[in-house]
Amino acid sequence: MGVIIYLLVIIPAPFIFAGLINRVKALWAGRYGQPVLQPLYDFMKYMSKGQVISTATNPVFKAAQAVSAGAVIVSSMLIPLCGASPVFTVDYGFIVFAYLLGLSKFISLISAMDTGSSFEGMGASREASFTAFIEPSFFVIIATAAAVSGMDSFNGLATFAASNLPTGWVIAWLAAAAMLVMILTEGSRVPVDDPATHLELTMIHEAMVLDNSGPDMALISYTVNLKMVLLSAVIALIFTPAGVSTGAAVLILAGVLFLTAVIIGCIESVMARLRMTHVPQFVFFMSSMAVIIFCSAFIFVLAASK
Amino acid sequence: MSLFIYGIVIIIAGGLFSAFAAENRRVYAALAAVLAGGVMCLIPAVNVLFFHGTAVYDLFGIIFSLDPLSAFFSAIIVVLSFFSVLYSVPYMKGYYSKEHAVTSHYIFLTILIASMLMVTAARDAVAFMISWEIMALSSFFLVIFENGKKEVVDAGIYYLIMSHISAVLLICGFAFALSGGAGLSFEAIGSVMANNRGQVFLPFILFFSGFAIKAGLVPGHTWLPKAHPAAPAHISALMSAIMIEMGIYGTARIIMIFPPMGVPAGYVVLFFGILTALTGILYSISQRDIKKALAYSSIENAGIMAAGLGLGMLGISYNRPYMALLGFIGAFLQVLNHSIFKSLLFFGSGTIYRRTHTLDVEKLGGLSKKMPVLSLCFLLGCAAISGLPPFNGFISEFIIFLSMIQAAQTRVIALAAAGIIGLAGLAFTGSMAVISFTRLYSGIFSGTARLDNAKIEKGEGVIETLIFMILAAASLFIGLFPQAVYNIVYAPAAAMLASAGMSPLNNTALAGQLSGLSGLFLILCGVVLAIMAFRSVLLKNRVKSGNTWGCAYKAPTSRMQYTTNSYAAPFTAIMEPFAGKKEVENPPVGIFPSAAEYKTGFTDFFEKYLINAAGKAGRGLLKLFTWIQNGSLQRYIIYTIIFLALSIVWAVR
Repeated sequence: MGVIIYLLVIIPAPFIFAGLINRVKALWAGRYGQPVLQPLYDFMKYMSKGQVISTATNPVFKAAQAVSAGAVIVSSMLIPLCGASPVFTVDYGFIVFAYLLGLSKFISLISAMDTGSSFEGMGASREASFTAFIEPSFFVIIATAAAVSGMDSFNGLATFAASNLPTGWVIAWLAAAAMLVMILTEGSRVPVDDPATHLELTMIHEAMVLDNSGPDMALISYTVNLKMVLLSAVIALIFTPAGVSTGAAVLILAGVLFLTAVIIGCIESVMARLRMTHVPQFVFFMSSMAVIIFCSAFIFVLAASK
Repeated sequence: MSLFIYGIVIIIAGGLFSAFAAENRRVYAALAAVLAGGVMCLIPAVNVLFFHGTAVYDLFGIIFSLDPLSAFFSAIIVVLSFFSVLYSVPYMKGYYSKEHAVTSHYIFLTILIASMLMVTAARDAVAFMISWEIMALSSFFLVIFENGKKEVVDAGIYYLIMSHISAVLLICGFAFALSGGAGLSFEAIGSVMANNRGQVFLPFILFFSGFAIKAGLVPGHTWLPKAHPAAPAHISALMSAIMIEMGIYGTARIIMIFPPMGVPAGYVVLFFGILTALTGILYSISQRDIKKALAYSSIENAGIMAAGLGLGMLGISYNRPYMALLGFIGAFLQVLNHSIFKSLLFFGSGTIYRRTHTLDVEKLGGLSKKMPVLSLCFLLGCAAISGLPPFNGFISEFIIFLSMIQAAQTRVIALAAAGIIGLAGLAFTGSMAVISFTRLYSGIFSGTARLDNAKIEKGEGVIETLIFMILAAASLFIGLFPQAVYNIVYAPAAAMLASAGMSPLNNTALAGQLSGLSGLFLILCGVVLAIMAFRSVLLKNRVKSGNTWGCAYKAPTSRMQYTTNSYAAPFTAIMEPFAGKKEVENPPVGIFPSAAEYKTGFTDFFEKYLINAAGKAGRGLLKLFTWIQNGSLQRYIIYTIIFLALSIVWAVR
């Protein structure tokens, strides 16, 4: 059962997730929109194409997207889905999870810089700078959950909502909001980045991959969507109480994935990308949430347990 | 059996003997000595580490001995020294038959190696301080190898002064600790300290600040970014990868000798560790000089090691043996890992310097085509030093993270908060390391060459290439199979716990955890290889090459390439109050603009506001006494007479 859910999450979910976002945007714009599975068709199309590789690059460029996609795929094995234990159990797996995402980012940055293009350099430097603030906040949130629950993994996240303190739900919602900021930043969505923009100077993630084509491009779009799905699955954990039946857990996961996609679509429809100088302020939003979660958990939960 | 002592003697003798060899043979004499003596030192060290052997040597009444902690550090010293001397074979070729003191260079190099081994084995205050001073002085002479250049000598003098501040602090610490009068040996110091536990904190802080300067902990780090660029590459590697870790060794040794300390000491060490890690890596982002960037990254790594030690101390004071074990294991594994990838990166910078004659990242670029093997190994080293899986840097950071989570889960409010803040700090260090090392790698190797091709010297030496490959493979191996080195770092960490009166733990939990990671990383390698194979099948005969896309501009040059300074700019702009980057900008104004300028520079906050300010204050204070030494002989005679008179009065009193 666990394996089936896992395969469903990593194979069709990223495409449907991206398709849903597009569909929501289309609805806001008054269009019917592309099929929900359009990202999958694009994936197949890219896979069947050839590739143009810049003469400025070195062999690392060719291997980079495979490493990046591989790291994100392996990181997906560490997330417990629907109350089941993860495919691969490592105690405190969230550290490995975050660092695997880091490996993916590292190699993407290297490959972007490898082309020598100023556009890609710009994209890479922005991506590197903005996402640098994500990881500490992510660690604080999950470690606070681990401290409160005493559990050794992502599963501890459920403790916020489960604790019978009046603040529990507030903390849970704060954590979900913080994770949403992380999804928007790591997934390069509005208001951090606009995946639909046509101007290289305003791109972040799209600018980094200007010289990628063919199967590499397919891997890149799949990887970024998978990343968003995985982080949404982490949000689902916040709202999955311990000991809930598998059926209910599956419903929660599906619901959270659907809702996250809809929320991202709505955000993209109603607001524009922030100015580059304001993006860090948006990312710090997650840091301040993390600080609030940390402080309130300590004040209410740990101090009360003493 | 005093194999260890003979080994040290052989190393020094080999260095002296090399003076009599022909100039281009000197390095081989030193190499042979380091190999032979090194193996002799390694045998007892391995015996102690793996087979619980003992090694005590009585050298004319001075006791040297190896316990797991010393054995661990001396094993690293021996192996990395050998690589360092081996690397000097191609590197030093350019300096033969010039006005350089190659002879004394090898003599001091062997003395440095020997003195580091003596530091780890010394068991009393005097022997320790003597070895420590020999280490400081010999490394000073190695730093000023190119003493024709003013900045090299300045850097050397700066280093010498910092070393001696460190030595003075250590001497004060020993003076404090010896005041019980029980003897000079470390055991005697330990028993004196155990008898008045109330007064342990102050001597500990004296020792810690002395060792912190050697280790490069903030604010005593300022000598590193000056001394490393000045020294030859293999010396930078030796100093950065091993010598600064003597500061970590010293701190660990003091933790071991002293009775378990109160809580504050642990928090102090943890705080300075995290502060150092953050500062070091943040400053490394703004450096143009490769070696300076690497030096700041060494500072960062020393901070991570100190954080591990601090967690270990906190684990001991709060009686959490598992947390303490994790902290110490993390710190020692970081020592081992750092010595591997940092020497790889410094050797790499040496080869870059030898072939391009510059270390300025803004002038390099595109070297991956000229130096493909170095490029790949350097990339692996960068990934490892950024703490990314599946490399060795990740394993040690992961263990320190585990220790922090153990702290967070203790339900002791202060400790839990420290654990989580530490986690955030270390995580931020990790993400800044990614920025710093992607910047460094891409500045040097990516894109097209900014240097004229003709200016890049040919010749990728076999020795260099082999060293790079061995070190990069070692980084990857420890990352993929961490359980293989587990016993090496477990022994010293268990000894630290045992010294605090804690029973050695059941250690299967962590070992199991590490084999789990190993499995995950092997899956990672499998998945990546599968994707790459699939990709190459898909792309068969369908790859074309073309220009980098530049909005349809067809003639891009390397001058249009993104620079490392621009790459770091968004981040240094966000971190402006802390990053130390200084910009002077006078843009062209008006219809007929006159001179315009743009300059960027760098200031180290701690150097400017702490070290230099203290130096200025010290000079101001000493100026008050300049009248004493005024050069007039008559006055000096008067001083002598007054002194004699006072002595007579004191004697007949």
